[in-house]
Amino acid sequence: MSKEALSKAMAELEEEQVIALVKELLGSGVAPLEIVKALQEGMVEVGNRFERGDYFLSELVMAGEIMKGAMDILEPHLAGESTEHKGTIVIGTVRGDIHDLGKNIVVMLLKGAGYKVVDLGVDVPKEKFVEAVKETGAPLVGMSVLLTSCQGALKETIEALRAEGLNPKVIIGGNYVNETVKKHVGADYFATTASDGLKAAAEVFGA
Amino acid sequence: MVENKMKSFVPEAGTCIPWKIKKEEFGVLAGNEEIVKSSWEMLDALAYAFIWFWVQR
Amino acid sequence: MSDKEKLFQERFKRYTVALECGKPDKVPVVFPLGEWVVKYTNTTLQEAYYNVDKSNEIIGDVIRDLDFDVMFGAINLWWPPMFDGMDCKLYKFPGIYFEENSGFQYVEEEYMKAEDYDEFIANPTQWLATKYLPRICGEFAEPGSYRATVALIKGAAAFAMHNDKLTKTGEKWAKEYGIVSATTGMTKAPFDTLGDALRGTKGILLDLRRRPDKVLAACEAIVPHNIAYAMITAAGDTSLPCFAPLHKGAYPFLSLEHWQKYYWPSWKAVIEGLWALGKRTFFFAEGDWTPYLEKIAELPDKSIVFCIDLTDAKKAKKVLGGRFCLYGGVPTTLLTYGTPEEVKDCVKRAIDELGGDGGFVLAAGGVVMSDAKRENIVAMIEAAREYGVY
Ligand code: B12
Repeated sequence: MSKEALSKAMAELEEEQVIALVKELLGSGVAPLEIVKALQEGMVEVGNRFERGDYFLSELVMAGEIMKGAMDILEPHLAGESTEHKGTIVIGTVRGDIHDLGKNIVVMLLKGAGYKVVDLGVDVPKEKFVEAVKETGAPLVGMSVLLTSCQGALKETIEALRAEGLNPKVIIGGNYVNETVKKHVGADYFATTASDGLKAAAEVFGA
Repeated sequence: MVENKMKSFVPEAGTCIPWKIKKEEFGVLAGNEEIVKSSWEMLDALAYAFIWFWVQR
Repeated sequence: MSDKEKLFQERFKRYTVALECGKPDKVPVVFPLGEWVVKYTNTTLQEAYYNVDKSNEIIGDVIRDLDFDVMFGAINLWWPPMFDGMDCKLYKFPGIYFEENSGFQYVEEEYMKAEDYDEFIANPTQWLATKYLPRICGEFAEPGSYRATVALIKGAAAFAMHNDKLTKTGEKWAKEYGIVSATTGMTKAPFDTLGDALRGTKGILLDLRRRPDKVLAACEAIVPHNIAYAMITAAGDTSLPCFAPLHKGAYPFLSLEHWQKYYWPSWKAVIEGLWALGKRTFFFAEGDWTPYLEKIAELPDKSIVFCIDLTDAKKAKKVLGGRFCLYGGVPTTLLTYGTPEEVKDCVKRAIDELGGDGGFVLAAGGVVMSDAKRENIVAMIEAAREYGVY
């Protein structure tokens, strides 16, 4: 019963309740991974509410913060446990651009949906994308860009990946991207909302 | 020390050290107060804009 | 009166009539100034940022033969030497941090901590001078020291020099080219003043749940300052609107409920305060403001110019049109990826849909950056003249 309560508290952004429940569940011997799963279910609901327009950025930032607090408690207990996930996605904001609010939401929701996300941060040079894809073999790469002046960096990064013979699917996201930008830079998908990203991931990973 | 003579105050918006505070410190002005005051206020506003510039980005 | 002065008067009237929601002789058209002008020269972005005279030369070359009314935007909004002199951490410019042709970057942090709220609210100006400046400037690490004193002198001198230069540049554009500046002075929504440079985006959004009363009190404390700052930076001018770049009031930052409670009241108070002084606000609504249009419509008639970036233009026209001047019509991405033909079609459509009965200024919606193409901007301006005659 408590696990459902945890998911619900997460979805309702009840910070104190979430932390208390995580501790209680741990204390009563529930497997840490089960607890993470319950939290993720709450996160999925948060994402759904955002998509429906019931939640806004401020709610998502709060959800991220609560999740972080919960994970801080759980992490020591997770060591050694193999976390199963649906697949690996590399993501970052491209060179020259430091906007990351949108990207962070996408990261949060992808994690919530059960993917392993390697977040490279902001102002990410193309070499770092290449390196990360080589290391992880990720079949999907997400690139966030808000500044139109940095859309050129999308193209350069995608070309750098292809030049190395790396062929992950690439999804670009941000407020000014569209079909034209997608074609111009040679990406496979474009996203103006986080759920576009989730849909693309589901397609790539067949999940 | 000088600082003991300085009153604490909350400057109203648009000012750093309002003229009325400084005038008290100057005491009686021997010449034309209006000229001193308007120049004081002009520079005070510049200082104010400088301080707030760094947050109004 | 010289020809250029006459031209200035004509364009000034065209623009201000539109701001008053009237129908001028033609739809006023705005030249979007930005880094793109530099890329057609052999000057680097770094040089253009540092050397104001140089960038003015470049701008002069681009605008000389174009017929437009108003100029918006800047290359030298922030003059790097002023930041360098104080070792200010807010921005990184090409030169010290990046190669010569990169743009600049803002470094967002919680420069004001949660525990600073009370002190800030009690005396904002003093808190900024004594606590904030030392935090954002390396040279102020030890206030009162030799290094800090020298840096303060440099910073203040640079501030005065740069402001003077900007004023002279404006006068030059007016006199030699007959060009009107879109705005005079600058202000912000109190929530953005607090959220952008002080608490940071994450900081302020979490504060809405953790210390909502502090957010409200701080925003209230900022209101008179944002009115004063606008008037001081405008040097008292009330003939042109005050620039107000708006950030966290855009969808999807805040729910309507939060928006109404935390963003709007203090921002509305600034706009109304300025309006009472005869100063209109250039409501630079970055991003999408569609869900809040009905609330914005509560403002006194004509007190703002509403800039359409990603806001639903038709809805903006319906809700605000007639009572407030609308500004925009050309999406920024079209200026990069479109062809001159597509730009022309877009201008025609925008004028038909938004400009029919006046109260409209044709412009790019958001900030135009280095990616825009010159031929598209020329096409936009020419098309405005072709289709924009009432
Ligand atoms: C907040 C903000 C900032 C903050 C950024 C804080 C941060 N940590 O991110 C600060 C103040 C630092 C900032 C700085 C600047 N900014 Co700014 N900023 C904005 C603003 C107001 C909101 C952006 C935002 O976060 N939106 C909310 C999020 C949730 O939406 P989103 O990013 O679109 O993300 C969603 C989708 O796009 C999608 N998505 C995004 N990325 C990805 C990735 C993937 C893989 C997927 C699947 C989906 C996806 O999912 C998200 C969730 O639904 C916008 C205007 C606006 N309202 O859009 C301007 C804006 C982006 N900024 C702009 C500019 C010009 C700048 C500056 C250059 C200006 C300056 N004066 O300082 C600097 C640039 C610094 C740099 N080098 O990057 C311009 C860009 C213009 C242009 N031509 O591109 C804008 C559009 C404003 C405007 N109208 O002119 N900015």
